[in-house]
Amino acid sequence: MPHEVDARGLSCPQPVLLTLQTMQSSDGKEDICVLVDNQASFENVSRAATAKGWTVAATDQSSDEYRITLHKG
Amino acid sequence: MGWFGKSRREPPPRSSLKELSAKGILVFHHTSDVIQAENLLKQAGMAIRVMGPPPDLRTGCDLVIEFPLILELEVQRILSDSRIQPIQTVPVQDTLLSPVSLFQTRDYGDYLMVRAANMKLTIHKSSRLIVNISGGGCPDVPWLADQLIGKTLDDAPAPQRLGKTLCGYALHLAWEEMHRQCPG
Amino acid sequence: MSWLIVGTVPRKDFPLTCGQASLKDRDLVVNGCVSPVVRGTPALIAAACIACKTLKLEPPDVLLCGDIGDGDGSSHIYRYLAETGLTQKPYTGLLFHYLQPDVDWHNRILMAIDALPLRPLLMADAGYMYVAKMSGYAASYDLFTPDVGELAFLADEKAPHPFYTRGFLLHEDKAAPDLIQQAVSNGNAAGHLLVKGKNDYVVAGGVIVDIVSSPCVETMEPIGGTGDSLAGVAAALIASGLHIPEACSQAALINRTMGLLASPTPAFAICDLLASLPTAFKYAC
Repeated sequence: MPHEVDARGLSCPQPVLLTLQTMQSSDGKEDICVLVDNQASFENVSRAATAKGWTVAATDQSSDEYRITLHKG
Repeated sequence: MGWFGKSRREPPPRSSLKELSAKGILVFHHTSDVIQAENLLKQAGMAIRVMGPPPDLRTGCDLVIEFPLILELEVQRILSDSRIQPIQTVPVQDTLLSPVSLFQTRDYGDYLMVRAANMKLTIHKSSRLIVNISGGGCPDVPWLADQLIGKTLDDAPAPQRLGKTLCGYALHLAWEEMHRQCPG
Repeated sequence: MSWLIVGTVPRKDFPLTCGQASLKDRDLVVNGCVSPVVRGTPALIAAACIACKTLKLEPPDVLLCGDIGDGDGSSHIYRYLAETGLTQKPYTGLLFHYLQPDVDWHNRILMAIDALPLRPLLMADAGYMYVAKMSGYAASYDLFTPDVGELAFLADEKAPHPFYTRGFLLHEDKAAPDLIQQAVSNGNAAGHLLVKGKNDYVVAGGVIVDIVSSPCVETMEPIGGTGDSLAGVAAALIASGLHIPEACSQAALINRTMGLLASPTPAFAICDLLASLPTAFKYAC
């Protein structure tokens, strides 16, 4: 069951900070699923996760929402 | 006629030339020209300084480039190659206003803020993520903030590459100081 | 609110547009043009709109254009104002905000304002406040809202930009009263000042008439836009009929209360704080 980070309605850089905090407290065995509602946060979260050694395993966009699935490694 | 066919001030009497440092000032129309010229001349290894113009020299923007007069021809060539034209060149003969170089740092626990002149840059310390930019009044500031916030210090573009005004330049100073205080 | 707020949006493709402002979720909408409320002039306008709604006033008109620092958008605004914009409606107040400083355009616009049959109240913040001082016509304005660093710039008779403010120790907020006197005596202050900082100083005719120090929310300082929201609230309160000093005092208290209610970290954006602005009005007034 992936950890879910619902960052919709939060302004940049809070989605990135929440994601980083979740990654930090995660044991890496489960994916993290991040929800954001703007392109800038989508790009920043993806970039920050990659820099920390996580992979953007999947992305899904519908209307104004982006779902980013992050996988450790 | 002098530099690029533009006006050149008459030099002061020979006796007072001895009292001058052998420096010249390049005056430009736009701050963005100054910043570009600074980049080019520094890349060429020139010992130049960006400073404020003396009170009686306000024909251009609010920054001038001080350069060694002995290198005038070389400076001219470098700028000419890049089609950057100063509107005036004068020998240094008055006290220059120097740019503010004071930094103020404020620690917010998980966050660190550096202020340079009127600009403030704040990062999340453990991730080095740029979280906020405040201050300033020129239109490039909100745009620069959009480009930098949410990126780490290493990923974010240097404000000097993007900024076009003195506020953007002050932000660059804050960014450089933050790098110095929080190296990766 | 029969005011016109003039400023720029940090998007090069945002067209020159003039119309009544409205807020939709976290976006500012003017004539169908949308800008997210993150900082800068959109944040000031959003604060003014929220304040107007609380005060039961119509939202302000706004004149905006995209400008990312090259000055093109600001030039469009200046030309429009100087040629026709000021005569479209009889505004009782004009608030100038993030604009590329240009002394020549500033002076042309001030002349156009002087030619109006009914002179509106003039307020300036950010880049337009810089150019008002540079032009030598600061005293033509009714209200400036500088932060303490910008106050030092107003006090320094030679500095052409806050970047060149001489000898100002940025952390010495206690220097503000001296700087206020210098700015006033140099003729580089508006009729009123609202100086934003650890203490908010309200100045009328060169005299400090109020100092607002609490609530003190230190994490507001690094947040971009908290000064913009203060200016927007002050403008709305003036438009509601309050005298400028009273409006400034109330705006300072409301803005601080907004910060207290939002309980921000330095990572908050101004739009996160604006959600607490309506409640701040209830607590502060």
